[in-house]
Amino acid sequence: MSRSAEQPTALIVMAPVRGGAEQSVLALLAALPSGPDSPFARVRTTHFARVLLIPALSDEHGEPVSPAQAYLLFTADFDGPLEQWAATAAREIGADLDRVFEHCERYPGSRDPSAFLHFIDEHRVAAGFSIIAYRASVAAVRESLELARELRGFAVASQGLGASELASAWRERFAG
Amino acid sequence: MEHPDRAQAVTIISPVHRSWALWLGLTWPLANRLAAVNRPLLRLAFIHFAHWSLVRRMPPRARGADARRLPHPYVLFQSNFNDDLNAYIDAFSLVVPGRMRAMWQGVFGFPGPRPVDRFVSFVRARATPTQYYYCAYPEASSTMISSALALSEEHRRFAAEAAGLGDAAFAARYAEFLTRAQLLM
Repeated sequence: MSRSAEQPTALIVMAPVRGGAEQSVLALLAALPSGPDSPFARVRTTHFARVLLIPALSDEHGEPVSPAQAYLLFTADFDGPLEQWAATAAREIGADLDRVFEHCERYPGSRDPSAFLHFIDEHRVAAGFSIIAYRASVAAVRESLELARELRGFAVASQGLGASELASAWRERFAG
Repeated sequence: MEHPDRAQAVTIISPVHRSWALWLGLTWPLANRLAAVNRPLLRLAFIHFAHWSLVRRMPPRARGADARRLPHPYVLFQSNFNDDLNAYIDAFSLVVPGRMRAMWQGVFGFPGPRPVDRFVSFVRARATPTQYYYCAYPEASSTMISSALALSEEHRRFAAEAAGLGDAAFAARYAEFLTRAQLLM
């Protein structure tokens, strides 16, 4: 996939879950902290991440494929190349990932970076067609949202100021 | 699947006719490069990132063994979008029905994008619940982010222009900036 410097990388990993481990996976996912306490917040280049259990694939009639096989689906959109993200993820949230992924067949753990990356590569599903609404890093998105908030506040607060006061206030706030 | 945050996740994995998987595999690289394909979807303005993929096989259970071919190819659709899944599917159905056919026509059981109710039922029946979801900026919709990025760029240009201006000229330029930027704020 061609990728400009600012286009996030899409990672899609689908791995078979060991038989009988489905409930453990669900319990682990339910216990993972969310929001600002999410492990993924520690990998600061991550825009989005999701983890879900696919209990079974369906056949053409909508019935579960036999023999039953559950899959763990992990997806993330992040800045920069996969190797960099995977190295940071292994370092920062490896223990969290290990607790979930250790229920997948042949998961080697995150302590060996090359084995971890090999597992990801082996189970990676390519993004075929993508819609990307904005091509900006997580940091750029957050900075822009904060700037927009500040500019709205400034626009309201500066109403009625004379030219000199306006220029001075703006320079103090935004040109420092 | 429904969260209090603005961004939501939907994930659908569905078996697809092999001939359709071949069609998707051939057309997606081109579709990714054609603004005419992407633009109407982006104009819907509630998608952050969305991806369609084909899943054909799983890695072998043991080193050195062959990869395991799945009984069918599967289309995997996953999207990060704003707010409400029904509204999302409605918009797909009403605004870009041709693109939905081009994507889903070969999926077993696809009822077509219209009538909307049948399409909504099809998606809801196949959506896999998301057990864990993370968004780095949960307070922001896709439109808010696109606007904020555009506003940042406008402001950067304004700041560069304003650097050497006297107070009166600054005030005039600031008024122009506000006029240009008000729809982005």
